[in-house]
Amino acid sequence: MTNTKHGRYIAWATTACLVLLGIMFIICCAHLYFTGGDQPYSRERVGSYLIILAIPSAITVALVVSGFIYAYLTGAADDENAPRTSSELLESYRQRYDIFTFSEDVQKEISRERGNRTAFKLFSYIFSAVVLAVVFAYMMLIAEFSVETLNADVIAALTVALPLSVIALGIHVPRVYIAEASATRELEIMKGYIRENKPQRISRNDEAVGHGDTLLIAKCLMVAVAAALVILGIFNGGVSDVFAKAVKICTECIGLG
Amino acid sequence: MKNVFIKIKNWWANHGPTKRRLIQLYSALLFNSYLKGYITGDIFKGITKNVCTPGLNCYSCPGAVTSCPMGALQNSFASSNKTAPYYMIGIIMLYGMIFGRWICGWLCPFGLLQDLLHKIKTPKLKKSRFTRVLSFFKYIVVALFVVILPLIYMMRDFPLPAFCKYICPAGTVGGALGLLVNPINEGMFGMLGPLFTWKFVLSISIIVGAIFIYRIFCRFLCPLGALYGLFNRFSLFGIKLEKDKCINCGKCISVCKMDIHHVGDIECINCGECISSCPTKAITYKGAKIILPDNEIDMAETEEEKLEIENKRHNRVKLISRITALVLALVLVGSLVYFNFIYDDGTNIIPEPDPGVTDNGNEENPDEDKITQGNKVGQLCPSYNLELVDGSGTISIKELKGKIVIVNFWGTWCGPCKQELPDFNDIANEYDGEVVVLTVHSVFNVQSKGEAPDYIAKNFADSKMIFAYDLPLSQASDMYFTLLGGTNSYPRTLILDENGIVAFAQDGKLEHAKLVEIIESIKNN
Repeated sequence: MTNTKHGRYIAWATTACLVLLGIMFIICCAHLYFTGGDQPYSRERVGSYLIILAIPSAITVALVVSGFIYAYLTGAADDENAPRTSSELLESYRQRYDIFTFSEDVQKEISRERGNRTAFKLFSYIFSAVVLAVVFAYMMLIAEFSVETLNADVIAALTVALPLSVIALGIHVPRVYIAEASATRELEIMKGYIRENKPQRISRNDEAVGHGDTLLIAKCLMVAVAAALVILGIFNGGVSDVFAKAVKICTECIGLG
Repeated sequence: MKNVFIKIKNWWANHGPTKRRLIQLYSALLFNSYLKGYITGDIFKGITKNVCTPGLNCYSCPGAVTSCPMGALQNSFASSNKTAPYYMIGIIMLYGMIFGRWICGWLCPFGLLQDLLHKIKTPKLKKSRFTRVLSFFKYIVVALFVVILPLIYMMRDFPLPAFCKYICPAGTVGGALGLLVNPINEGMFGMLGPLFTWKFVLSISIIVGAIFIYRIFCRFLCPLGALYGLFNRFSLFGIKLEKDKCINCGKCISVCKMDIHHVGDIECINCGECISSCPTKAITYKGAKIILPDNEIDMAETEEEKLEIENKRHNRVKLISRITALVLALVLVGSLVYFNFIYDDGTNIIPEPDPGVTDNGNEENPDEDKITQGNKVGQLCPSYNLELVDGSGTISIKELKGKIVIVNFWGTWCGPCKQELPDFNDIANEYDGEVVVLTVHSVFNVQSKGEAPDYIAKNFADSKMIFAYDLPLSQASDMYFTLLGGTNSYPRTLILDENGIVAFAQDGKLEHAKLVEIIESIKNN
């Protein structure tokens, strides 16, 4: 829809209204909580805030509806798909061409690029594994958890665990960007060689035959194991535990405290 | 007339919901068919709650007729020191091995909500290398909130469903808001505090985020999707790629809005949107030959044979589709009728309390206006004979007249109940002689009744509190609790004055300072 002028205006206006409405809901909720004293939420107080939010909500809904109507009347298409990355393109080239048929120089360059990517990938995974192990050790051995100060303890523990976990994941962000740059270089090398020398493509018949029957048997076995666990759980009282919790409103679970 | 009908048919073909959308709507309605719950402000308590729905659907939602697998899994881990969690591990494995993440794409009600929100016409944030990395965050959520925290607190004999409590937006949107909108649950507003504020803010962020980012919760936060994704490659149903037909053009990956590396990997929700984009029709559904042969290519020898086989398959598919649709429609109608009109949870039959307690205590003028019995403030609290936990006999409220009585309904399976009991114990000690604390333990679950004596002996051996059991009413309800409830959530506390009149009633945890304030207020009045 953003490929037409009016479509863009409606889309961006809707975006602005939705984001602002979301922010208003959050601010109202926070205001209710911080100015409410012992019992911050009551039907009357919540009702009065909802009345304040009624007009912006109505405007937002109207914009959303107008977006749908505009798209229907003009036949506006959805936005384009994400472009393919070099890594994906490289994968498809690797499926089609055997690099061992390329010249030695080209093979060396490709191997160097792959080696760099593999080394950084290995480093990233080891780094992530070490950091996650530290997180696990911290949670199980160091962090203090007590029932009396449950929320405070959990928040304190997560204040350490979550950032470390994000760091463990975060190392992969530069990795994928570096890998993408390396894949782009490798792709250029391959494309250049293919353009000049036109090597033969891999025949589909050369691909290995799958072990379909073995996999199916393994899948059925796992289903049988799962079913056996369920039956065992029925007899050891697991079902009654599930039932006991499910028939009472878990006020903790739904955020009521 | 015929032209109008043809126009409507064409419009429906071009703009109507797809098969997938219809199945999503169907499953959302089927899993939440207890529509009466939105009117009564209560949750369903029938036998189908033994069964877990495959997708994320909070069991505290008023309409839910089944359990949520995530909530049940955390509770299983939380009680794994008493009962090994075979059932829930088996259920997750079973669903994963049969369906994989097909559940996410076709059955999950929260996934449907995100799909519908994403339809709103705004600019969208497309997937990128960064979102691919971020998609692994949900495994950290599984590790920290679903496994580690519940297990840590299990070792402290305290049930903590950490994901449900701190993250799950389905519970806030479906459960909390679904209950709060009903005026019957006005008492629940008193329970709202910092936890609700956090969860509401998080839920709003996810809902707004889902408009701009496709399936933001499923991709980055959902632990259920993370677990099912591990089985995706091995599941019996879902998407598969026929490698002998694939030319690695990558159109399927471009079209897909999830962070997949290839079709059918751990991020694939098996929605099937990529099937039509494949130029060589290499993408099919597993089991397609039987159910949905969108892309079958026959290997018949002659053109006539091929045409005949294709016609036969087409007719067979049509027949199977119609029979399946009819059966599913009957199941849905049957569910709606049964759960809303036929099902009886047995709570409408309340036996009479002890005779002689309907009066207001005025023995000189017994015919003066009698105070009504009930659970509301200002009403006379009904009295029943309750069995004492130590087995020494029974007790009833009428025996405790003359003192302020705090009646607290709790259970060993309830975390907030256990958290507040020490405060009640302190009150019983501080106001000994003036205030009696009567704790009434839930009995609807036989196992939890058995746990109560051990828990009390370990934590409140010399307590001045009186520990009694509730009376069983039905398979899913405690009688006294139900009578003095109004809502169905633990803990619940009533405070009665010296005449047995209800002076205060609240759902949710109470703290020491609040109890003191109420007791002093009753004493001064």
